[in-house]
Amino acid sequence: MFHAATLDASPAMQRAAGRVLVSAKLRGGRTVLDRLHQAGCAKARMPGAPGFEAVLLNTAGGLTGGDRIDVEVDAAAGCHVTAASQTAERVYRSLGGAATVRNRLRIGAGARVDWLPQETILFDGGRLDRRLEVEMAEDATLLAVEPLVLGRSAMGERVETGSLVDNWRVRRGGRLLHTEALRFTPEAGAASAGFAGRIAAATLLYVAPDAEDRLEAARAALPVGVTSGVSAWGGRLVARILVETGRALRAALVPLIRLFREGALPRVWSI
Amino acid sequence: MTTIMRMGATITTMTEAMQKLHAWLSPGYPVGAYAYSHGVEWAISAGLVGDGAALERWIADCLRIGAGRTDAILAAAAFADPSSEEPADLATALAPSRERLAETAEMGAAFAATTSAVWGPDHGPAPYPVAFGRFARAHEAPLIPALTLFLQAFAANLASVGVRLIPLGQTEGQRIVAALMPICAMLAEEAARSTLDDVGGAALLSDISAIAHETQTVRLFRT
Repeated sequence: MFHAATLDASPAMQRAAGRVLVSAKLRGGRTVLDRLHQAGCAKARMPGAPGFEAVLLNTAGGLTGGDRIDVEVDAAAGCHVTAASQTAERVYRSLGGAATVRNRLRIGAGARVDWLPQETILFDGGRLDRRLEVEMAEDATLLAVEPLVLGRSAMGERVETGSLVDNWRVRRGGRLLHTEALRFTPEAGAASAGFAGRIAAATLLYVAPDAEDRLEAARAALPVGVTSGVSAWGGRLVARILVETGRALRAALVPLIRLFREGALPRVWSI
Repeated sequence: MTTIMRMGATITTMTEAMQKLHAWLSPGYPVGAYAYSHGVEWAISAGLVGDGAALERWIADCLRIGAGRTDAILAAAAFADPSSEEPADLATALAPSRERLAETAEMGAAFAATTSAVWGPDHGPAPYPVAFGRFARAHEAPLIPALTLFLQAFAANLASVGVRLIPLGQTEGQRIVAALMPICAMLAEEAARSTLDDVGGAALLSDISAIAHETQTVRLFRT
Protein backbone atom coordinates (compact mmCIF):
# COMPACT_ATOMS: atom_id res chain seq x y z
CA MET A 1 0.00 0.00 0.00
CA PHE A 2 1.32 3.41 -0.94
CA HIS A 3 0.73 6.46 1.17
CA ALA A 4 0.34 9.31 -1.27
CA ALA A 5 0.17 11.91 1.47
CA THR A 6 3.74 11.40 2.59
CA LEU A 7 5.17 13.70 -0.08
CA ASP A 8 2.79 16.53 0.73
CA ALA A 9 3.94 17.47 4.23
CA SER A 10 4.90 21.04 4.99
CA PRO A 11 8.05 22.09 3.12
CA ALA A 12 9.35 23.86 6.22
CA MET A 13 9.57 20.50 8.02
CA GLN A 14 10.37 18.29 5.05
CA ARG A 15 13.97 18.28 3.95
CA ALA A 16 13.67 15.23 1.77
CA ALA A 17 11.11 12.57 1.00
CA GLY A 18 11.15 9.44 -1.04
CA ARG A 19 9.35 6.22 -1.56
CA VAL A 20 10.15 3.13 -3.47
CA LEU A 21 8.25 -0.07 -4.15
CA VAL A 22 9.92 -3.17 -5.52
CA SER A 23 7.76 -6.18 -6.20
CA ALA A 24 8.96 -9.48 -7.55
CA LYS A 25 7.23 -12.44 -9.13
CA LEU A 26 8.18 -15.89 -10.31
CA ARG A 27 8.66 -16.48 -14.04
CA GLY A 28 9.93 -19.82 -15.30
CA GLY A 29 11.14 -20.69 -11.83
CA ARG A 30 13.19 -17.47 -11.52
CA THR A 31 12.51 -14.37 -9.46
CA VAL A 32 11.99 -11.36 -11.74
CA LEU A 33 10.89 -7.76 -11.30
CA ASP A 34 7.15 -7.30 -11.37
CA ARG A 35 6.75 -3.61 -10.56
CA LEU A 36 9.08 -0.76 -9.62
CA HIS A 37 7.77 2.60 -8.39
CA GLN A 38 10.14 5.34 -7.31
CA ALA A 39 9.45 8.85 -6.08
CA GLY A 40 11.64 11.52 -4.55
CA CYS A 41 15.03 10.61 -3.14
CA ALA A 42 14.40 6.86 -2.76
CA LYS A 43 15.56 4.66 -5.62
CA ALA A 44 16.16 1.01 -6.29
CA ARG A 45 18.56 -0.62 -8.75
CA MET A 46 18.45 -4.24 -9.81
CA PRO A 47 21.96 -5.18 -10.95
CA GLY A 48 20.87 -8.54 -12.35
CA ALA A 49 21.98 -12.14 -12.02
CA PRO A 50 22.85 -14.14 -10.03
CA GLY A 51 19.79 -13.90 -7.82
CA PHE A 52 17.35 -11.02 -7.45
CA GLU A 53 18.98 -8.24 -5.53
CA ALA A 54 17.41 -4.80 -5.01
CA VAL A 55 19.96 -2.14 -4.12
CA LEU A 56 18.27 0.69 -2.25
CA LEU A 57 19.60 4.24 -2.55
CA ASN A 58 18.82 7.48 -0.81
CA THR A 59 19.90 10.13 -3.31
CA ALA A 60 19.51 12.85 -0.67
CA GLY A 61 22.69 11.46 0.89
CA GLY A 62 21.72 10.76 4.48
CA LEU A 63 18.81 11.60 6.73
CA THR A 64 17.98 14.50 8.96
CA GLY A 65 15.02 15.76 10.98
CA GLY A 66 11.80 15.89 8.94
CA ASP A 67 12.97 13.51 6.23
CA ARG A 68 10.64 10.71 5.31
CA ILE A 69 11.52 7.50 3.47
CA ASP A 70 9.09 4.70 2.63
CA VAL A 71 10.31 1.39 1.24
CA GLU A 72 8.15 -1.54 0.25
CA VAL A 73 9.39 -4.91 -0.90
CA ASP A 74 6.86 -7.43 -2.10
CA ALA A 75 7.90 -11.01 -2.83
CA ALA A 76 5.17 -13.08 -4.47
CA ALA A 77 4.83 -16.82 -3.82
CA GLY A 78 8.07 -18.74 -4.35
CA CYS A 79 10.30 -15.66 -4.93
CA HIS A 80 13.63 -14.98 -3.27
CA VAL A 81 14.38 -11.27 -2.97
CA THR A 82 17.42 -9.68 -1.38
CA ALA A 83 17.20 -5.98 -0.47
CA ALA A 84 20.30 -4.13 0.66
CA SER A 85 21.29 -0.49 0.88
CA GLN A 86 24.03 0.75 -1.41
CA THR A 87 25.93 2.42 1.42
CA ALA A 88 25.73 3.02 5.13
CA GLU A 89 22.87 5.40 5.98
CA ARG A 90 24.00 8.49 7.88
CA VAL A 91 21.60 10.14 10.31
CA TYR A 92 22.81 13.74 10.65
CA ARG A 93 22.32 16.05 13.60
CA SER A 94 18.67 17.09 13.66
CA LEU A 95 17.60 20.69 14.13
CA GLY A 96 13.99 19.65 14.57
CA GLY A 97 12.18 16.35 14.76
CA ALA A 98 13.26 12.86 13.85
CA ALA A 99 13.80 11.45 10.39
CA THR A 100 11.06 8.92 9.66
CA VAL A 101 11.70 5.62 7.88
CA ARG A 102 8.96 3.12 7.18
CA ASN A 103 9.98 -0.21 5.68
CA ARG A 104 7.39 -2.82 4.72
CA LEU A 105 7.98 -6.34 3.52
CA ARG A 106 5.37 -8.72 2.18
CA ILE A 107 6.51 -12.30 1.74
CA GLY A 108 4.20 -14.74 0.00
CA ALA A 109 3.81 -18.49 0.32
CA GLY A 110 7.16 -20.26 0.16
CA ALA A 111 8.88 -16.94 -0.63
CA ARG A 112 11.89 -15.42 1.05
CA VAL A 113 13.12 -11.87 1.68
CA ASP A 114 16.61 -11.06 2.92
CA TRP A 115 16.47 -7.55 4.37
CA LEU A 116 20.14 -6.63 4.67
CA PRO A 117 20.74 -2.87 4.78
CA GLN A 118 24.26 -1.75 5.59
CA GLU A 119 25.02 0.17 8.79
CA THR A 120 22.90 3.01 10.08
CA ILE A 121 25.33 5.57 11.48
CA LEU A 122 23.75 7.80 14.10
CA PHE A 123 25.67 11.08 14.30
CA ASP A 124 25.72 13.04 17.54
CA GLY A 125 22.36 14.84 17.68
CA GLY A 126 20.80 12.55 15.07
CA ARG A 127 17.22 11.43 15.54
CA LEU A 128 15.64 8.51 13.71
CA ASP A 129 12.20 6.92 14.00
CA ARG A 130 12.17 3.71 11.99
CA ARG A 131 9.71 0.86 11.56
CA LEU A 132 10.04 -2.49 9.86
CA GLU A 133 6.66 -4.09 9.21
CA VAL A 134 6.69 -7.64 7.87
CA GLU A 135 3.68 -9.64 6.67
CA MET A 136 4.74 -13.17 5.84
CA ALA A 137 3.04 -16.44 4.93
CA GLU A 138 3.30 -19.37 7.37
CA ASP A 139 5.95 -21.14 5.28
CA ALA A 140 7.81 -18.00 4.13
CA THR A 141 11.35 -17.07 5.18
CA LEU A 142 12.68 -13.78 6.50
CA LEU A 143 16.29 -12.86 7.17
CA ALA A 144 16.60 -9.36 8.61
CA VAL A 145 19.54 -7.40 10.00
CA GLU A 146 19.89 -3.77 11.06
CA PRO A 147 23.49 -2.91 11.99
CA LEU A 148 23.85 0.24 14.07
CA VAL A 149 26.93 2.38 14.68
CA LEU A 150 26.82 5.25 17.17
CA GLY A 151 28.83 8.29 16.13
CA ARG A 152 31.68 8.75 13.68
CA SER A 153 34.24 6.79 15.62
CA ALA A 154 37.09 7.73 13.24
CA MET A 155 36.56 11.32 14.43
CA GLY A 156 36.21 10.25 18.04
CA GLU A 157 32.60 11.40 18.00
CA ARG A 158 30.31 10.05 20.72
CA VAL A 159 26.53 10.33 20.61
CA GLU A 160 25.77 12.65 23.51
CA THR A 161 22.37 13.79 22.33
CA GLY A 162 19.93 12.25 19.91
CA SER A 163 17.78 9.16 19.75
CA LEU A 164 16.88 6.16 17.68
CA VAL A 165 13.62 4.27 17.81
CA ASP A 166 13.55 1.07 15.77
CA ASN A 167 10.35 -0.96 15.88
CA TRP A 168 10.05 -4.29 14.10
CA ARG A 169 6.68 -6.00 13.84
CA VAL A 170 6.71 -9.40 12.17
CA ARG A 171 3.36 -10.98 11.43
CA ARG A 172 3.27 -14.54 10.18
CA GLY A 173 0.02 -16.01 8.92
CA GLY A 174 -1.72 -12.82 10.10
CA ARG A 175 -0.59 -13.16 13.73
CA LEU A 176 2.07 -11.13 15.52
CA LEU A 177 5.10 -13.41 15.86
CA HIS A 178 8.04 -11.23 16.77
CA THR A 179 8.73 -7.68 17.85
CA GLU A 180 11.94 -5.75 18.31
CA ALA A 181 11.51 -2.40 20.03
CA LEU A 182 14.80 -0.54 20.36
CA ARG A 183 14.67 2.87 21.99
CA PHE A 184 18.22 4.12 22.03
CA THR A 185 19.16 7.20 24.03
CA PRO A 186 22.61 8.38 25.16
CA GLU A 187 21.62 7.28 28.69
CA ALA A 188 21.09 3.74 27.38
CA GLY A 189 24.39 4.00 25.53
CA ALA A 190 26.21 4.44 28.83
CA ALA A 191 24.07 2.05 30.90
CA SER A 192 25.81 -1.07 32.22
CA ALA A 193 22.97 -3.39 31.16
CA GLY A 194 22.41 -1.35 27.98
CA PHE A 195 25.17 -0.61 25.46
CA ALA A 196 27.78 -0.29 28.25
CA GLY A 197 29.68 2.39 26.30
CA ARG A 198 30.04 0.23 23.19
CA ILE A 199 29.18 1.85 19.90
CA ALA A 200 28.22 -0.89 17.46
CA ALA A 201 25.33 -3.32 17.69
CA ALA A 202 23.11 -5.47 15.54
CA THR A 203 20.16 -7.76 15.77
CA LEU A 204 19.74 -10.53 13.22
CA LEU A 205 16.36 -12.20 12.92
CA TYR A 206 15.74 -15.38 10.93
CA VAL A 207 12.15 -16.59 10.70
CA ALA A 208 11.72 -19.85 8.83
CA PRO A 209 10.38 -23.37 9.28
CA ASP A 210 13.97 -24.53 9.98
CA ALA A 211 14.94 -21.60 12.25
CA GLU A 212 15.41 -23.63 15.43
CA ASP A 213 17.51 -26.26 13.63
CA ARG A 214 20.09 -23.57 12.77
CA LEU A 215 20.86 -22.62 16.39
CA GLU A 216 24.10 -24.55 16.89
CA ALA A 217 25.48 -23.53 13.49
CA ALA A 218 24.67 -19.87 14.19
CA ARG A 219 26.36 -19.99 17.59
CA ALA A 220 29.42 -21.55 15.97
CA ALA A 221 29.52 -18.87 13.23
CA LEU A 222 30.04 -16.01 15.70
CA PRO A 223 33.69 -15.20 16.36
CA VAL A 224 34.99 -16.24 19.80
CA GLY A 225 35.23 -13.43 22.34
CA VAL A 226 32.53 -11.23 20.80
CA THR A 227 29.78 -10.09 23.18
CA SER A 228 26.87 -11.77 21.49
CA GLY A 229 24.27 -14.44 21.81
CA VAL A 230 21.98 -16.56 19.66
CA SER A 231 18.64 -17.91 20.81
CA ALA A 232 15.96 -19.79 18.91
CA TRP A 233 12.36 -20.50 19.81
CA GLY A 234 8.89 -20.61 18.27
CA GLY A 235 9.99 -20.62 14.63
CA ARG A 236 12.62 -17.89 14.87
CA LEU A 237 16.29 -17.39 15.56
CA VAL A 238 17.65 -14.16 17.01
CA ALA A 239 21.30 -13.13 17.23
CA ARG A 240 22.36 -10.05 19.21
CA ILE A 241 25.80 -8.50 18.91
CA LEU A 242 27.37 -5.63 20.85
CA VAL A 243 30.95 -4.57 20.05
CA GLU A 244 33.44 -1.71 20.26
CA THR A 245 33.73 -0.71 16.60
CA GLY A 246 31.89 -0.79 13.30
CA ARG A 247 34.67 -2.94 11.88
CA ALA A 248 34.22 -5.53 14.66
CA LEU A 249 30.48 -5.51 13.99
CA ARG A 250 31.02 -6.39 10.32
CA ALA A 251 33.53 -9.08 11.27
CA ALA A 252 30.89 -10.66 13.53
CA LEU A 253 27.95 -10.22 11.15
CA VAL A 254 29.48 -11.38 7.88
CA PRO A 255 29.96 -15.08 8.82
CA LEU A 256 26.46 -15.13 10.30
CA ILE A 257 24.88 -13.65 7.17
CA ARG A 258 26.86 -16.04 4.98
CA LEU A 259 25.59 -18.97 7.06
CA PHE A 260 21.98 -18.09 6.21
CA ARG A 261 22.72 -17.38 2.54
CA GLU A 262 24.75 -20.43 1.50
CA GLY A 263 27.89 -18.34 1.62
CA ALA A 264 26.83 -15.35 -0.47
CA LEU A 265 26.86 -11.77 0.84
CA PRO A 266 24.79 -9.16 -0.96
CA ARG A 267 27.14 -7.70 -3.59
CA VAL A 268 27.00 -4.20 -2.09
CA TRP A 269 28.26 -5.61 1.22
CA SER A 270 31.42 -6.99 -0.32
CA ILE A 271 32.54 -3.81 -2.13
CA MET B 1 -22.40 11.57 57.84
CA THR B 2 -22.89 9.97 54.39
CA THR B 3 -19.59 11.52 53.32
CA ILE B 4 -17.82 9.96 56.27
CA MET B 5 -19.44 6.58 55.57
CA ARG B 6 -18.50 6.80 51.89
CA MET B 7 -14.93 7.71 52.83
CA GLY B 8 -14.88 4.75 55.21
CA ALA B 9 -16.02 2.44 52.42
CA THR B 10 -13.35 3.83 50.09
CA ILE B 11 -10.65 3.28 52.70
CA THR B 12 -11.85 -0.30 53.25
CA THR B 13 -11.74 -0.99 49.51
CA MET B 14 -8.28 0.56 49.26
CA THR B 15 -7.03 -1.45 52.24
CA GLU B 16 -8.39 -4.67 50.75
CA ALA B 17 -6.75 -3.95 47.40
CA MET B 18 -3.41 -3.26 49.10
CA GLN B 19 -3.72 -6.50 51.08
CA LYS B 20 -4.20 -8.45 47.86
CA LEU B 21 -1.29 -6.70 46.12
CA HIS B 22 0.90 -7.50 49.11
CA ALA B 23 -0.02 -11.19 48.89
CA TRP B 24 0.31 -11.41 45.09
CA LEU B 25 3.71 -9.73 44.99
CA SER B 26 5.27 -11.32 48.06
CA PRO B 27 8.27 -13.59 47.36
CA GLY B 28 6.22 -16.49 48.77
CA TYR B 29 3.45 -16.23 46.17
CA PRO B 30 3.67 -19.43 44.09
CA VAL B 31 4.81 -17.89 40.80
CA GLY B 32 8.32 -19.19 41.45
CA ALA B 33 9.94 -15.77 41.05
CA TYR B 34 12.98 -16.97 43.03
CA ALA B 35 13.81 -19.41 40.19
CA TYR B 36 14.32 -16.70 37.54
CA SER B 37 17.35 -14.40 37.44
CA HIS B 38 16.54 -12.52 34.19
CA GLY B 39 20.12 -13.12 33.01
CA VAL B 40 21.67 -11.72 36.21
CA GLU B 41 23.14 -15.13 37.06
CA TRP B 42 25.20 -15.05 33.85
CA ALA B 43 26.09 -11.35 34.28
CA ILE B 44 27.50 -12.14 37.73
CA SER B 45 29.41 -15.22 36.51
CA ALA B 46 30.88 -13.19 33.61
CA GLY B 47 32.08 -10.47 35.99
CA LEU B 48 29.73 -7.80 34.59
CA VAL B 49 28.15 -7.44 38.04
CA GLY B 50 30.65 -7.86 40.85
CA ASP B 51 29.47 -5.85 43.85
CA GLY B 52 26.48 -4.10 45.36
CA ALA B 53 26.99 -0.84 43.48
CA ALA B 54 27.21 -2.65 40.14
CA LEU B 55 24.13 -4.71 40.98
CA GLU B 56 22.14 -1.58 41.83
CA ARG B 57 23.14 0.01 38.49
CA TRP B 58 22.29 -3.18 36.58
CA ILE B 59 18.83 -3.49 38.17
CA ALA B 60 18.16 0.23 37.67
CA ASP B 61 18.95 -0.30 33.96
CA CYS B 62 16.64 -3.33 33.79
CA LEU B 63 13.92 -1.14 35.27
CA ARG B 64 14.48 2.01 33.17
CA ILE B 65 15.57 0.68 29.78
CA GLY B 66 14.71 -3.00 30.10
CA ALA B 67 11.79 -5.25 30.98
CA GLY B 68 10.71 -3.14 33.98
CA ARG B 69 9.38 -0.13 32.10
CA THR B 70 7.95 -2.23 29.26
CA ASP B 71 6.24 -4.68 31.63
CA ALA B 72 4.68 -1.78 33.53
CA ILE B 73 3.28 -0.43 30.25
CA LEU B 74 1.94 -3.91 29.33
CA ALA B 75 0.37 -4.27 32.79
CA ALA B 76 -1.22 -0.82 32.49
CA ALA B 77 -2.69 -1.75 29.08
CA ALA B 78 -4.08 -5.02 30.49
CA PHE B 79 -5.52 -3.04 33.41
CA ALA B 80 -7.18 -0.58 31.02
CA ASP B 81 -8.73 -3.34 28.90
CA PRO B 82 -8.57 -6.76 30.60
CA SER B 83 -10.40 -8.50 27.74
CA SER B 84 -7.98 -7.35 25.03
CA GLU B 85 -5.49 -9.93 23.76
CA GLU B 86 -3.26 -7.22 22.29
CA PRO B 87 -1.08 -6.68 25.40
CA ALA B 88 -0.62 -10.47 25.76
CA ASP B 89 0.31 -10.94 22.10
CA LEU B 90 2.74 -8.03 22.25
CA ALA B 91 4.31 -9.25 25.50
CA THR B 92 4.90 -12.67 23.93
CA ALA B 93 6.31 -11.22 20.69
CA LEU B 94 8.62 -8.88 22.64
CA ALA B 95 10.47 -11.66 24.48
CA PRO B 96 14.14 -11.19 23.53
CA SER B 97 15.18 -14.83 23.98
CA ARG B 98 13.84 -18.35 24.62
CA GLU B 99 14.40 -18.27 28.37
CA ARG B 100 13.02 -14.76 28.78
CA LEU B 101 9.81 -15.93 27.07
CA ALA B 102 9.68 -18.87 29.51
CA GLU B 103 10.21 -16.48 32.43
CA THR B 104 7.24 -14.26 31.61
CA ALA B 105 5.00 -17.11 30.34
CA GLU B 106 5.57 -19.50 33.26
CA MET B 107 5.29 -16.86 35.97
CA GLY B 108 2.16 -15.45 34.31
CA ALA B 109 0.53 -18.88 34.00
CA ALA B 110 1.25 -19.67 37.66
CA PHE B 111 0.03 -16.24 38.77
CA ALA B 112 -3.23 -16.58 36.82
CA ALA B 113 -3.87 -20.13 38.09
CA THR B 114 -3.37 -19.30 41.79
CA THR B 115 -5.13 -15.95 41.67
CA SER B 116 -8.12 -17.37 39.75
CA ALA B 117 -8.43 -20.22 42.25
CA VAL B 118 -8.18 -18.08 45.40
CA TRP B 119 -9.69 -14.71 44.45
CA GLY B 120 -11.20 -15.09 40.99
CA PRO B 121 -12.29 -14.22 38.45
CA ASP B 122 -11.15 -16.89 36.03
CA HIS B 123 -8.40 -15.60 33.75
CA GLY B 124 -6.42 -17.99 31.56
CA PRO B 125 -2.62 -17.97 31.34
CA ALA B 126 -1.01 -14.77 30.04
CA PRO B 127 2.46 -13.22 30.19
CA TYR B 128 3.16 -12.18 33.77
CA PRO B 129 2.61 -8.38 33.54
CA VAL B 130 -0.59 -8.90 31.55
CA ALA B 131 -1.98 -11.44 34.04
CA PHE B 132 -1.07 -9.08 36.89
CA GLY B 133 -2.75 -6.09 35.21
CA ARG B 134 -5.96 -8.05 34.60
CA PHE B 135 -6.29 -9.16 38.24
CA ALA B 136 -5.32 -5.74 39.57
CA ARG B 137 -8.20 -4.31 37.57
CA ALA B 138 -10.66 -7.03 38.61
CA HIS B 139 -9.93 -6.30 42.28
CA GLU B 140 -10.03 -2.53 41.84
CA ALA B 141 -6.45 -1.96 42.87
CA PRO B 142 -5.23 1.60 42.32
CA LEU B 143 -3.15 1.48 39.13
CA ILE B 144 -0.04 3.48 40.02
CA PRO B 145 0.55 1.80 43.42
CA ALA B 146 -0.06 -1.60 41.78
CA LEU B 147 2.53 -0.89 39.06
CA THR B 148 4.97 0.52 41.61
CA LEU B 149 4.77 -2.61 43.74
CA PHE B 150 5.01 -4.86 40.68
CA LEU B 151 8.26 -3.14 39.65
CA GLN B 152 9.55 -3.21 43.21
CA ALA B 153 8.94 -6.97 43.42
CA PHE B 154 10.91 -7.40 40.17
CA ALA B 155 13.77 -5.29 41.55
CA ALA B 156 13.74 -7.09 44.92
CA ASN B 157 13.87 -10.47 43.20
CA LEU B 158 16.94 -9.48 41.17
CA ALA B 159 18.56 -8.01 44.30
CA SER B 160 18.05 -11.37 46.03
CA VAL B 161 19.80 -13.09 43.10
CA GLY B 162 22.82 -10.87 43.81
CA VAL B 163 22.64 -11.51 47.54
CA ARG B 164 22.86 -15.24 46.89
CA LEU B 165 25.42 -15.25 44.06
CA ILE B 166 27.86 -12.35 44.48
CA PRO B 167 27.32 -12.81 47.47
CA LEU B 168 26.13 -9.73 49.37
CA GLY B 169 24.88 -9.28 52.92
CA GLN B 170 21.12 -9.21 53.44
CA THR B 171 21.37 -5.60 54.64
CA GLU B 172 23.14 -4.51 51.48
CA GLY B 173 20.48 -6.32 49.42
CA GLN B 174 17.77 -4.33 51.17
CA ARG B 175 19.74 -1.08 50.73
CA ILE B 176 19.66 -1.72 47.00
CA VAL B 177 15.89 -2.30 47.06
CA ALA B 178 15.43 0.93 49.03
CA ALA B 179 17.59 2.89 46.60
CA LEU B 180 15.52 1.62 43.65
CA MET B 181 12.13 2.55 45.11
CA PRO B 182 11.98 6.06 43.60
CA ILE B 183 12.71 4.64 40.13
CA CYS B 184 9.87 2.12 40.52
CA ALA B 185 7.44 4.88 41.52
CA MET B 186 8.54 7.16 38.67
CA LEU B 187 8.25 4.40 36.05
CA ALA B 188 4.81 3.41 37.34
CA GLU B 189 3.55 6.96 36.83
CA GLU B 190 5.09 7.06 33.36
CA ALA B 191 3.56 3.67 32.45
CA ALA B 192 0.11 4.77 33.57
CA ARG B 193 0.30 7.61 30.99
CA SER B 194 1.76 5.44 28.20
CA THR B 195 0.31 3.35 25.40
CA LEU B 196 1.46 0.10 23.80
CA ASP B 197 3.34 2.17 21.19
CA ASP B 198 5.73 3.23 23.97
CA VAL B 199 7.09 -0.22 24.82
CA GLY B 200 10.71 -1.02 24.13
CA GLY B 201 14.13 -0.31 25.49
CA ALA B 202 17.82 -0.73 24.99
CA ALA B 203 18.94 -3.24 27.63
CA LEU B 204 21.09 -5.02 25.07
CA LEU B 205 23.67 -6.40 27.49
CA SER B 206 20.90 -7.67 29.77
CA ASP B 207 19.31 -9.43 26.76
CA ILE B 208 22.65 -10.91 25.69
CA SER B 209 23.21 -12.10 29.28
CA ALA B 210 19.83 -13.84 29.24
CA ILE B 211 20.78 -15.57 25.96
CA ALA B 212 24.23 -16.55 27.27
CA HIS B 213 22.52 -18.11 30.29
CA GLU B 214 21.01 -20.74 27.97
CA THR B 215 24.46 -22.32 27.59
CA GLN B 216 25.74 -21.64 31.12
CA THR B 217 26.87 -25.03 32.44
CA VAL B 218 26.61 -24.51 36.20
CA ARG B 219 23.40 -22.67 37.05
CA LEU B 220 21.01 -22.29 39.94
CA PHE B 221 18.34 -20.30 38.10
CA ARG B 222 16.09 -21.09 35.17
CA THR B 223 16.94 -17.80 33.44
